[in-house]
Amino acid sequence: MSIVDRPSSTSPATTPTNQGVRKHRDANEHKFLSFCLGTETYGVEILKVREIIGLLAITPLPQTPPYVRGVMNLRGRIIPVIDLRLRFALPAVEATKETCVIVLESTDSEGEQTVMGAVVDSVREVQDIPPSAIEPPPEFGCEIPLGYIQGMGKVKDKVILLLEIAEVVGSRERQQIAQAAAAAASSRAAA
Amino acid sequence: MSLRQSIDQAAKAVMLSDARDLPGLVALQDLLQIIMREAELRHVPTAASCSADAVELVEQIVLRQVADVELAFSRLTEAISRLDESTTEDGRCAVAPGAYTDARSSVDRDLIAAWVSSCETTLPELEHLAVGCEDVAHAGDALPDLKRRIHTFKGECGVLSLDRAQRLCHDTETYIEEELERGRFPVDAVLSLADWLRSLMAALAHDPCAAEPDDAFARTALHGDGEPSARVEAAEVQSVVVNETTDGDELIVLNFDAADDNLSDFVGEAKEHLANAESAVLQLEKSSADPEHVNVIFRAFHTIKGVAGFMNLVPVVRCAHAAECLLDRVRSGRRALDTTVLDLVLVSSDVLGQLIAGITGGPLPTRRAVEGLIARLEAASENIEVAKSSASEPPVSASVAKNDASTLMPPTEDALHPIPAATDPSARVTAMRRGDQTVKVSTMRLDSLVNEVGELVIAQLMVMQDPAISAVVDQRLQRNLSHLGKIVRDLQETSMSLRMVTLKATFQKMARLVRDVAHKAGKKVQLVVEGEDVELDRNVVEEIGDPLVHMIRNACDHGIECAADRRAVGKDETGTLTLRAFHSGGSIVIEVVDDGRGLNRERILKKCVERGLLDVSRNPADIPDAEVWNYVFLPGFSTAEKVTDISGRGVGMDVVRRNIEALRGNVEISSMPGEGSVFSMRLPLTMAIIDGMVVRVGTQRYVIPTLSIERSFRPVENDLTIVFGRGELVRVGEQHLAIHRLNRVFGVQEGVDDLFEGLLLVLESGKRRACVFVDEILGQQQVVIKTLGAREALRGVSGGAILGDGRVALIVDVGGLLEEAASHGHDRAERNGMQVHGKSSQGAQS
Repeated sequence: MSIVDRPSSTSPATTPTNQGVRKHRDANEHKFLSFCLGTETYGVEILKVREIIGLLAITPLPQTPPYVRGVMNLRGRIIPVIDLRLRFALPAVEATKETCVIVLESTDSEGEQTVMGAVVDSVREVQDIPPSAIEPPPEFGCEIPLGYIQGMGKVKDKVILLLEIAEVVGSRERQQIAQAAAAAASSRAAA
Repeated sequence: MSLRQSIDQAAKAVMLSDARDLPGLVALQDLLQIIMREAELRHVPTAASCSADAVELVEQIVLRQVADVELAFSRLTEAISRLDESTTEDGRCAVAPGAYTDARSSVDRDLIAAWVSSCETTLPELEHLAVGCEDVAHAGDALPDLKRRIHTFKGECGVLSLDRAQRLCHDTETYIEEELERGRFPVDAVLSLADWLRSLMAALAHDPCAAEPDDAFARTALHGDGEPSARVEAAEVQSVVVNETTDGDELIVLNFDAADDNLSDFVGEAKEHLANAESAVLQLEKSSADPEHVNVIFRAFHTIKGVAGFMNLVPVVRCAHAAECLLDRVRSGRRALDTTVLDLVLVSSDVLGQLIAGITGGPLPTRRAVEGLIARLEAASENIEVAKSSASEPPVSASVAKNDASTLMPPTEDALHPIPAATDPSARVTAMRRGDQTVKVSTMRLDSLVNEVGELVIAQLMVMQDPAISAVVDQRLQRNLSHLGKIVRDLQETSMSLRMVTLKATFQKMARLVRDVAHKAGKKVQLVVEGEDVELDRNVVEEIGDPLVHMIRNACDHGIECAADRRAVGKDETGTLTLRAFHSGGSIVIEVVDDGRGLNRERILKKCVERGLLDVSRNPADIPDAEVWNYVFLPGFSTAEKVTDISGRGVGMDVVRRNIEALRGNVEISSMPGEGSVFSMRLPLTMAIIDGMVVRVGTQRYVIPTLSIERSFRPVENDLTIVFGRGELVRVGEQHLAIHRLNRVFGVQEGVDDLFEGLLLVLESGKRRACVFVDEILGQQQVVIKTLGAREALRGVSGGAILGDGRVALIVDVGGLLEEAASHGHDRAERNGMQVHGKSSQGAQS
């Protein structure tokens, strides 16, 4: 499943204009929002983060892979929510006070704007990571597709996995998810 | 009818007709032939040759011998305007009201309409600025601003081919410059320009192709020349005009109360009546005298007379009365219905139209025109052939001719010609505007308004359902809240209606298509359109174009037989295709009905067998028709032996079904061999809001469109049947319906499992019926449909709705759900069946 923003429901108040983005682009280009999943720290470009909200009621969607938590109401607009823990095959945990949803905005390769929520354990801080401190994703030689890793950011002595959010549930994943959904449907039917 | 009138009528007809309107074109051709003969009789060679050209062009268009219809039409317009000019030269008559300038035919009507509506704000601003500029020394920024605005008007008029307006703007500009050099500002000139522009707007608002009004009077203000003597001269010119027109050319004076609310209703209705009357006249001209058409005209005039009498609009009453008397004689058979009568009716309709337009600030006709008409009408009803005088062939107005020398361009001379509204104080009712005025709003703003209203509805519901609110017993608060609720609902309804448009335009396009396809296929097809005034959501209307095209092509190509075949089976050679739209229980049904050969059951079944679509164990004879017809919607399914350039690839019906389903509608076929088929599309009224039943399954809530729910009930053990291999069934009336448990279909790991503890809803989608099992019904409410943000549609879910507590509930797509359930039903059934078996035996034990 891919997640698409329909312009009809775009609320102008929360959508920064292109000019606005451009103005802040330079200042924010190398800023990343870091968040935690389990013991690991991840980061996403701050330009892609629209807002951070607490965990609201999520309505599950049928026929979707487990990491798609469902949809939620973001001020009158319905957005899909994924669970990054489940996406990265980490064990599910109970929600805590720190659990929150990062509302991300990105434009995929087909030029379609995507707004979605990502459930994370907690958000940390906004950090400056200059390009010089970012290394390309490592070659693990494993079958896990690493397209969603933008790079490895080194901050002090820690390594932050920088995520390419469009790829996390992006075009590459779409097919797999569609297959998964089909498989889920058929397994359900066969059960 | 005089030559002049015929030409005017032809000019009108050519503007109104289009290539699809065969009867109109034929009428036009007849008219042109009359003109041609008349011109030959009167020895006007240019007119004769022009009209001959035009006749030939129309013939080509009618016979479809032209490659480019647009081009042919522009040539036709050109020929008629040449014809127009050729007869104007002889000086007897000039441009009559409603004559058309050819250049403007090419200008987009929408553009003109947009300009007219923008002028509604810019003109008052111009006037305001002009007054502000009177004191040149203190005008400040106003002066350059004003000049810019006039310049803009000039440019806009140029773009819109409003030549006279452009020239007048230009001359005013020049005049302002001259006057400013003398240290003065010509307020009068600018104001009269504004007045003149306003009368132009009024004319254009009525008809985007209307002629520009005479600018002679507006120009008098430009001849002040700055010198007092010259100004006096200008005043003299003006008074001369007034003096010489008093003997019958003065404008009709209407006394009315502009503030009367009924007046605007009257204007709108009267226009409608006149339009009806005119179309009835055209019908009468075309076909033999149908008394019903005469009645239509009679009723139109009678109604106008009655209401106008109530409003004390004496000239209107007299005109309508005279016309009515004539028609009454025709009706009672005391007067033959001939062209004289029809012409008179049309002239009366024109004059009445002018009088009525005058109420809303348009130009009024002259007294002579009105009196002349009444005299002719009276004479005609006495069966006296009156000499065609007065109104029909207005004498040259000497006064205007005198004026000629002092104006920059020759004014037109026609007693019927309206003098700009500016000169008539009674016509300067700017507050009154046409009743059907529209504002152009970008669809984006409209959509965002509709969205915001949708959110308002949600927010209002959230407040209403807030436990803190329901705990309050304060009566005033409750009253105010319910008042608020009512306002919100009204607002929602209004905002929804903003998006509604009629099907007229879509159906009109289809008329053209039918003609083209029928012609290509070498068949005779007559299109009957019903219910084109039915309104639908703009989005829906946009989306149904494609499906309609496919259905109509199919009907013309496959459905309707060729003339020879039809004759052979004793049908009329001309096939009839009916395009019908009507309301039916909260949705709109659009039907494409043909009286052709009907769908070929055997051929479809044969094809199904070839493609392996049929279960071999089934006897083809047992398959119900509805199921057979459904196969034609499969992609790539075509029974046509050969692929023509019209249809046969089997793509069309697939497109039809997809598009209709995307609109949350459905499409059904019924067909009788030899009698034809009906393709009917059922569409929702709007895309944005549905009336839904909120049901609960475990902790989840779902919204099921109320329209799909036939009934709900708690099952009784006797009615339940468990069929191994087919699943659970429940008897509803005489029918056994499959039970689909919503929690299993949607994979919810909760919810009631015992059928006797929950509720069964009988759902219906198309011809499919089935029961859905839910825990309980929570209530019924209107919900705003929102996309889930998922690009790929989920089977069985059409969207999401935000409920009163702010949480999202999924909206069940009944069609998809039933299909999904049916396709998996086979496998799942056994499992369910066993479970239910177990459950019910448990129940029996306890």
